[in-house]
Amino acid sequence: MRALTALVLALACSQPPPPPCGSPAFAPKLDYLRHLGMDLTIGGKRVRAVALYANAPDYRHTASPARDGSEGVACVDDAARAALVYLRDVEVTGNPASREEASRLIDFVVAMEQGNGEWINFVNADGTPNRTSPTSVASFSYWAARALWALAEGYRVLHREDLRPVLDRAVARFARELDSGRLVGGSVTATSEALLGVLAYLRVAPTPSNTSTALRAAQRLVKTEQRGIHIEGEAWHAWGARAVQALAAAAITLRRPEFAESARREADGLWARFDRGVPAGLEPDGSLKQFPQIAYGQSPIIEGYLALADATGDRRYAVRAGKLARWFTGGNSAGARMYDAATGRTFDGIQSATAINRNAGAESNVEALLALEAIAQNPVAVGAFQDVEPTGRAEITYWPAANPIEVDLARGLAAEFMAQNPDVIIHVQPIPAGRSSEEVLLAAIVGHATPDVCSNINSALLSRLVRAQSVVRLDTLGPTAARLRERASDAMLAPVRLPDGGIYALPWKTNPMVLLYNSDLVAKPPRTYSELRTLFHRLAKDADGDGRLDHWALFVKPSPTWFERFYDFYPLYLAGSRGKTLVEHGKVAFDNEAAVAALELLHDGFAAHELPLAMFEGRDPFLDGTVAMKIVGPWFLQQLEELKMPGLHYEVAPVPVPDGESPEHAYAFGDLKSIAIFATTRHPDAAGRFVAFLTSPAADRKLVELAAQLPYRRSLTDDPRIASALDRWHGMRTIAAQVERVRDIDIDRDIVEVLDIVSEAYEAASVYGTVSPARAVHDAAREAREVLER
Amino acid sequence: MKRALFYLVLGLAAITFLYPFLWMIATTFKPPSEAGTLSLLPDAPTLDNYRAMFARAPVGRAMINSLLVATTVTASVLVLGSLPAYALARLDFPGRRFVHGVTLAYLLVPSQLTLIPLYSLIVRLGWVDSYRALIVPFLFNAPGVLMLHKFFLQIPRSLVDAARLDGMSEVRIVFGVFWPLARPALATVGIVTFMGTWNEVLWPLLVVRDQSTMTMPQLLTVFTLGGGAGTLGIQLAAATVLIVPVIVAYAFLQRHFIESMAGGVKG
Amino acid sequence: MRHERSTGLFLASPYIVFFTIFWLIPIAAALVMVFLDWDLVTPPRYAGTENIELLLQDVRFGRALLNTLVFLAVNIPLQVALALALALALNRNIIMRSFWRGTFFLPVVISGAAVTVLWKALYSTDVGLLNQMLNAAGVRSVPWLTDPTLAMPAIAVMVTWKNVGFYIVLYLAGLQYVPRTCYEAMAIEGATPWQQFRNVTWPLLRPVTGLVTTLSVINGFQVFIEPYVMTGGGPLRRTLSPVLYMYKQAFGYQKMGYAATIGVALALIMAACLFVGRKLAAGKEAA
Repeated sequence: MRALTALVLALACSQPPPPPCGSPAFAPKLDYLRHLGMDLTIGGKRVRAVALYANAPDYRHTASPARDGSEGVACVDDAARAALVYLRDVEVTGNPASREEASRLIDFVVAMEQGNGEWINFVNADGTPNRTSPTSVASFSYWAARALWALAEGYRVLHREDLRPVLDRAVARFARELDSGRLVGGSVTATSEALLGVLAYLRVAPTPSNTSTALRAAQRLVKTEQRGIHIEGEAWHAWGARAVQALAAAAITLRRPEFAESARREADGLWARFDRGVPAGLEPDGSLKQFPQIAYGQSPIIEGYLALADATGDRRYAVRAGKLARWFTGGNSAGARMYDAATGRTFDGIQSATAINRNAGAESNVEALLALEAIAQNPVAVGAFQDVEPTGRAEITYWPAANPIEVDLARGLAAEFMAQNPDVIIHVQPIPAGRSSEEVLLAAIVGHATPDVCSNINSALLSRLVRAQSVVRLDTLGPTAARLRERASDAMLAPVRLPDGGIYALPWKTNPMVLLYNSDLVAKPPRTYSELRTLFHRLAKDADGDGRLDHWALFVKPSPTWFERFYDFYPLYLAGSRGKTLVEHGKVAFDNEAAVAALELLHDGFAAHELPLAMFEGRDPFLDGTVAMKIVGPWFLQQLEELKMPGLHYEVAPVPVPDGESPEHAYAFGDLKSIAIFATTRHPDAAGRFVAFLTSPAADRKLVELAAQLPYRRSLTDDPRIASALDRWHGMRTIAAQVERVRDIDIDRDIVEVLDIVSEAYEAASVYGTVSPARAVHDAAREAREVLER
Repeated sequence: MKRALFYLVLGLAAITFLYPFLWMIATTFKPPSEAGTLSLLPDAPTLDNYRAMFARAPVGRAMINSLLVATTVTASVLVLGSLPAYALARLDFPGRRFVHGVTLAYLLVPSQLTLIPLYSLIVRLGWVDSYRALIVPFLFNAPGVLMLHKFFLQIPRSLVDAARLDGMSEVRIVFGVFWPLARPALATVGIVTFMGTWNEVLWPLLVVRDQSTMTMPQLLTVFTLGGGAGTLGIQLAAATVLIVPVIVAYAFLQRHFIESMAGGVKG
Repeated sequence: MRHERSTGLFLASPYIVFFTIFWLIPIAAALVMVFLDWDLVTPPRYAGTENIELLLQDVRFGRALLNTLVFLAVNIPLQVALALALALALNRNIIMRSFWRGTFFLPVVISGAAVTVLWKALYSTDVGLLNQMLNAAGVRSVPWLTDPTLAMPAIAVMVTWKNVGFYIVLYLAGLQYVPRTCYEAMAIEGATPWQQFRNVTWPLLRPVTGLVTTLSVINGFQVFIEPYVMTGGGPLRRTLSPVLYMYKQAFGYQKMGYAATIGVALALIMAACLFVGRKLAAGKEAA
């Protein structure tokens, strides 16, 4: 028997070749920065700051030296920007250590505020502030600007309400500076940084006064432009060149392209002359003053380029940013590695072609990390940064889903990509409108006819593709790793991470299911199961008096087909299960109260005939008012708009939670569609770049606007690059708020069978009431266990 | 009196068999508001259902596919199948008993047994979504070979010997001598094979995903199940398109149909 | 002689190649696949007797077999009774015999998919013809396909309707072998039509009834398109047929090995049923 089986196996299988390597992923390290951290007590409060200096060879904390006036051991200036570094890490990884660090650094910043929106900068070892040094006196100068920036980002990322009053004071104080026509601290950079702070604040507090402050700040910056550089009252120096970054960001958030134009002129003019690193500054005669090249100086230029790339959509800026960032890894006049990949430590700078300043103080490291993190989140820049070898012409086949809108979107994006990447040709081939893309893809694998890229991968399929070793790992491939870093947090990626820790398909879009309700029939959307039950009762009507009910509250299909559960049981279950899905790590996870409660709710509805036991073939009962509510995903908003049913007024609300559960713990069902690169591709890097492009902020924006679908992106509702697109569809904002709290079906090869079993439990317990919900869940769990344990 | 009652009951029975078809065809001409009413004549007859059906599904293509597949398979079963049938009947060759035995035995094998392995074979050959998948596994069929074999046995040896003496090759004998005489058997096998292939729906569902390669019964199934059909009228329009050619052919060739399909079983 | 042998082989060789590839190898493969865990894409895993053990405990497979029993319990008696009755009716001296026969046979030639779609419409709770007729007569609509106890019988009735014409023809052919003289003799002796039937017709038709039953059993075990289109296997798994279950395992869950196991089991069960049936029939005949 074994011999025969072996023969069959030998004849029947063909192992796919091992996937090719692309460029590696890049992520900056925060270890050294952490080393620079120091605890302080100010006014009885324990806070965190960063040491000003740390000198070679032992890199111990070093305070401000006498020659600088012994300003102190730490300053707001550095602490604020260090907080920014940690906050960016929190956004990506959610790391509690970074969160703690950021929070305590911000506590330090708060402690140094003088109650009126002004700041003192330096502090001594014993916690007493230095009120006398000119670089520390209470004022709204460059350290206050950075404080504002850090507080705004801290408020946005950490959701610390206690920061709001300080923030408001700071913004008000900033506005007063602008009123007087002054630049903050007389510096373009400081004003730029304050503006960046206000722009961050606008994401979560888009008040008219904040908007006006930001506008005026941007306009003030534009005024500083003379002969293509933004400078006022002093010579241009690299570490003072943040105007470009701030103006580009302002152009996006405030939707004023003229700000980007102003920023471009400096980038296209002066900056285009930089080679192998950013020089120290400009000589009076306009020639470049090369040295000392400091780490601090590289950052504003790099981040400025990246912000411009976002604002203009021109990838060449990102490429230049990447190339300049090579200064850190040896692409500088001294050929020295300034950034240590193991610890994340950056040397302060280069004095000349032969002399390197190996000290590594706070400012250098903070700015280096800000720049490198920004690079790490930009797929194009990362490629240029790592100096990836161009591989010549690449031809890539791309299979989008078959629906016409997505095909159009795909063709448009492919054309754009090809225009920007002339070495790549994309052939767009929609998956044929057959039964399911799963079978088409699996047949393609067996027939050795797979595409390079496919964007219709769902979780059930992904598990099988990984088992077949058919897809490339994306969190270790340069461009896609950068995109993952830019687009999603670790928490968002956890459900799509395979047991080996790898991400094998880039989660592209999700359709969180919400409760769509007819606002003429339902005044207040139900928040809990009880409220929903009340509506079941209230809205079940016999309108035509024929003795049979013909209007109902909710449309729930009595069909036992497994994917119908996505519209009834599964969203209701997820609302109360605190993130538990059906299967976790190959074990049954639904044997719990939430499943029983969901089945019970539906059972009560059917038993009282308050839910229709009909299939409504060929018509949608929500559209004609037969039912008042439906659980749907965002794509339906587009159908609603297209159909323009007269007199149909609708709103959207989150799915009700079981009584006693808090909406904060609820998850929405959002089936994820991901993009995968097949291991048979001969151009993994080009494919990676294309996938990164398909998931870029600009492409995501199109996805929202044209297809009414939501990108699986963090901070979607306040991302200035995309958020305004949400308003295109009525009700979309509510749905977008769910994007980060979404659960898909599990990546397990038996998930469809488990869903079938759950569906049958639903049928027995809820629709026909032949079995109690508790019993049905128990039996279903048992059957599912048998299936899973095979 | 008893006769009248008898014919009444018989007539009622016949109506049970005919009325559903009439109702189906009538419904295809009714607008959605009238769908499901009892009347056979729509108040507001409309061609919308047919228009919508043609717009939503490649019906013409599917009909052509069905015709192509059924014709090719039938032709093959008749032409190719005659060769082994003749060989078994009139030629002694090594393995003859084996071949005959396999053919007989295969009659006993239920289709469920081989469905999955055949599908796997098609997938490994890369024939999914191709006409080959629909045609090649049916180039020969066991009952066909046996039926032709039985008929060929009845043709007198003397005819064969005479033809051989004339110098005819064996193949010429099959088609030149046996075929003209075997018309009834060929008609039987032909009709049964053609109808069987035309109506086959499970196999296409397994091996064909692409709409442009689907056969008509398959398209109807996919169309109805997938919800693309929409209202009742459109669904039934697709069903009507599928069966009308058969009904028409049946009306003219009823005797042949019945004798072939039911007669074949007895043999 | 040699010429004949080689020509024979030559003529038969395409057929031999064909059935080796498409008949013999799949049968062997089916038996091999019983011992595999395979989804056609990833390399197969040797699973030993797992599939068999699972099948023996599989509640859903048991339910599918039970459903088939329910189906046959409705289908066979109804089919035999109707086919026989109508055949007897048509066997008389009546006008338009070919018209009647043609009408009853019509559903047989129609595609199963079309018949299924038609009856799905007939049975529909909202707009179905049957319920419309019931409503017109003052009776409430019956959920033919959504009631767990009615669904499979409803499908059985539909399949009976589709196939009865075929069996009428078989019975008609069988009735040709009942000599008129028998009836005349019995009529003279004063036997009632019922007695004639019971003592002459029915016994003489036993072979045909046997054939009808056998074919119905084979057909019953192969039911697929009807539940697939009409109910998807529900409600409460009451219309899940074994072939539909096999299909689900293969194409819904990609468990080719398990699906092949079901196929083999089905073939064995069907053979057992027919064998037992034969024995019973032979026993009765002997008695």
